[in-house]
Amino acid sequence: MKIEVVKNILSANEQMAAENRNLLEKLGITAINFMASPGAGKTSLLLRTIEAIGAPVAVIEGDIASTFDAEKVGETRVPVVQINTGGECHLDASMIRNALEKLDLKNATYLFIENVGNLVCPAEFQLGEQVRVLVASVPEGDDKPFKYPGMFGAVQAVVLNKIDVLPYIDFNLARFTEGVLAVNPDVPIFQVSCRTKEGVGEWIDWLKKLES
Amino acid sequence: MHELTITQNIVDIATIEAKDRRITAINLVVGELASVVEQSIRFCFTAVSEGTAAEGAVLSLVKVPALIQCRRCSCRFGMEKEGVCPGCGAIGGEVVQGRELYVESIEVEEDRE
Repeated sequence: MKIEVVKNILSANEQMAAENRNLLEKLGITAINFMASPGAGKTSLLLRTIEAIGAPVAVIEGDIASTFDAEKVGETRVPVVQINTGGECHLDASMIRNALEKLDLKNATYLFIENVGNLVCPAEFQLGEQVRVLVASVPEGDDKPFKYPGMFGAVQAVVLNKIDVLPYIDFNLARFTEGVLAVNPDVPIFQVSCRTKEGVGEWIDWLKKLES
Repeated sequence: MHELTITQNIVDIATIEAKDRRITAINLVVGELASVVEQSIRFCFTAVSEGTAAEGAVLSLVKVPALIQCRRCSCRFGMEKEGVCPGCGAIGGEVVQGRELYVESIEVEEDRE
């Protein structure tokens, strides 16, 4: 006997992500999922953003192991929780649900979620975020949008970090931009250096518009 | 990607729908862009379904090719065009097909009288 099902295989995660999203919306919190390769500058961007945003922030850090990132964020005095996945290469909605229960969200306007360093898997797993941001970086090369179209196509903003080293790296900005816009035609690309703070202002302005 | 979790989810979805009846077949729809390796799913399925109502079920995968629709001329084309529209030469477009990943149906043993 045949039974029609038509159910998404990742529906369990999607369901929990929807519940997380509802909870955050009720609290008036704008949640952002930051994704990137390891070392692109997610934590650096978070630190620069916390410094400049002028609004209360809470943070969820995701790594396979270690609490380095949560410690760095903790120094800024914002509420932060570190998730150690112990092996899972991406965060998922149930991990976020658990973290939300431990986080002081009372006053937060923004929730920044720093995903595990990975340009592939995080794109497949909704967390309950409102916005997804990809942090790319100059030393990674200008061909990454062509190699990882799933990730570059799945985000609402691309931050290109480490522009201060453009003079020393063979990175063709026009080629990178072409690759991004081919899979995501309306996405804003913010060129920044977390080290020198160049370009951070425009990124912050865009973030502020999100919240309102 | 993550075929073990995906296979576990497939078995969970199927056993819930089957409501204690033995499952003889599970029919999946998998898009070209769903990043799923069929061989890995089959490999995991043997292990994951053991001891469940899905053990021994025939797993079938219907593959759906990716289709991109050009934003400029609305021509639809596949991945072999490497993102270049064959109609007008524009680069990229909207993915209108190819991301599917779902259990379409299952087949169960009839209830015995």
